[in-house]
Amino acid sequence: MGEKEGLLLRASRLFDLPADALAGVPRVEIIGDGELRMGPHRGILAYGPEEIHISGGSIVVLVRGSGLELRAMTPEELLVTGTITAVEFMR
Amino acid sequence: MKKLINLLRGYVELTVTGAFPERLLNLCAQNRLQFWKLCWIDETSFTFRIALQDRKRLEGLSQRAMCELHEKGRRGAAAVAERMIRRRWGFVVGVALCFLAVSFLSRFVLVIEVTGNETVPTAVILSQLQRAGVRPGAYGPAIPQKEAANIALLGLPELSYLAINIYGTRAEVVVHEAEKKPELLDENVPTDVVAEADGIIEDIQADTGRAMFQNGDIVAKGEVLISGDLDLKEPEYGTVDFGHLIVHAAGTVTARTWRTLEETIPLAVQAKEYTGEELTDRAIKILWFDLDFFQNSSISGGRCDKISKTEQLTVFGCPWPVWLTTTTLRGYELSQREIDREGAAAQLEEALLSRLHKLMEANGGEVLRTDFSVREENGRLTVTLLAECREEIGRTVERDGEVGRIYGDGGTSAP
Repeated sequence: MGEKEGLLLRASRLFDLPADALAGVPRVEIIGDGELRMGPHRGILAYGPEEIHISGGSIVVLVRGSGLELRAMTPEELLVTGTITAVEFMR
Repeated sequence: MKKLINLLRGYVELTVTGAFPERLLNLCAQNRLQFWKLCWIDETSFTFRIALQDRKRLEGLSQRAMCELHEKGRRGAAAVAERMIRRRWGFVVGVALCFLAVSFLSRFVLVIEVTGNETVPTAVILSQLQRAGVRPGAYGPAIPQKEAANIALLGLPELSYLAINIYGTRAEVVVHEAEKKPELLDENVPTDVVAEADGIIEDIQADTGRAMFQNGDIVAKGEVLISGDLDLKEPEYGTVDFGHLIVHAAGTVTARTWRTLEETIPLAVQAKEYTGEELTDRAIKILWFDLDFFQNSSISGGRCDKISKTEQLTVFGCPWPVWLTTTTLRGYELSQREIDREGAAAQLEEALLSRLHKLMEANGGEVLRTDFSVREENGRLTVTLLAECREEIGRTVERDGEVGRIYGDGGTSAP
């Protein structure tokens, strides 16, 4: 995590402001076990029907499951569908 | 819905192969290239679909991501159109030409419909419109509708309104017929009311002038019933004659009349005997072009009936500017033949009754009794109708003098 990003993250926590808006930290939204939205992102690092690695800048989001599919992808947001069994964050 | 849109836009299905194929996905996302149906094959390849219009941009991106693209197929409406243009360009050009021809030809007037006319024949209106430039085959946008309507109206005094509306190939002509001007009664003209027929007066009402007869009087045709010559009354024991005042006599005279009408027919007539020789001639008229298939055909011998029948082509109730004229020539010879007396008498009686009713309609009268008599003389059959009627017999006729002037001793000399 960069110095500036870390500062912004701390400031957002201090002032109770949404971190995704202020510091550009990725927001991961999971609907049931079949849909995962993430934005902003920095692209796909690895892709497979059982595991998808998504770069979130300071963290990497690991989506595990079966029949995973990248349904939509824009520079701001992406949508993964399938049966999601686990989501991990790696630094 | 999305599927339908993709299908209409057309798409390409591609296989991407490379060391890091996910890089291409990231580049696509960064450059806002939409993709779908992403299917991972192995670590180094996957398939996906992309819109046809993004195909060229993807080429550049794949080079940046160091991936190879293999096209599996193109689908959708745009892809089919592209294929058609490339492989069946003749067909596409034909369709385009058809489209252009339809768009251009639909601007020509093919049919003219006239509505609103009752007494003025459609053919008369069409002929006048033709002079104004509105005819089948005329280029619609070039027709000055208001000007043409005015020109046509000038030539048709029986019409009070004419409008031309052009809807594609159809020109609708809406007309209103003019109401006939009522005859104005010129009260400055000196007149008498005279009897139009012999009869017994049932009611005489003089609005202006002097009634010369009373109810129950017998009058002969031409007798003055209401005179426009008023004798001015002098005071009792007066010695000066005040003279006569001339007026415009008017009034109604209802009388019982006896009308005698006659119809006659020769007992022997020349009848047609068809020889059996028949010839049919057909001609087609398309817009203003005539195609006569049997131009100089005729029946030998000379005498023939010519029966022409013209039909306009109609497709689903819509008339087209195509007319088929079928002319049938039927040869005949003339022969002298006696008429059927009873049938002829009945026909003449019918004709006489029709004449009488028309007469009564014009005079505002009614038929009270009819009697027919049939006689044969000089080779002719004559039927006479004697009808008793009640009708208006007064007819206004002009007389000498000047309305309002007094003639005689009280004024100027007598007219």
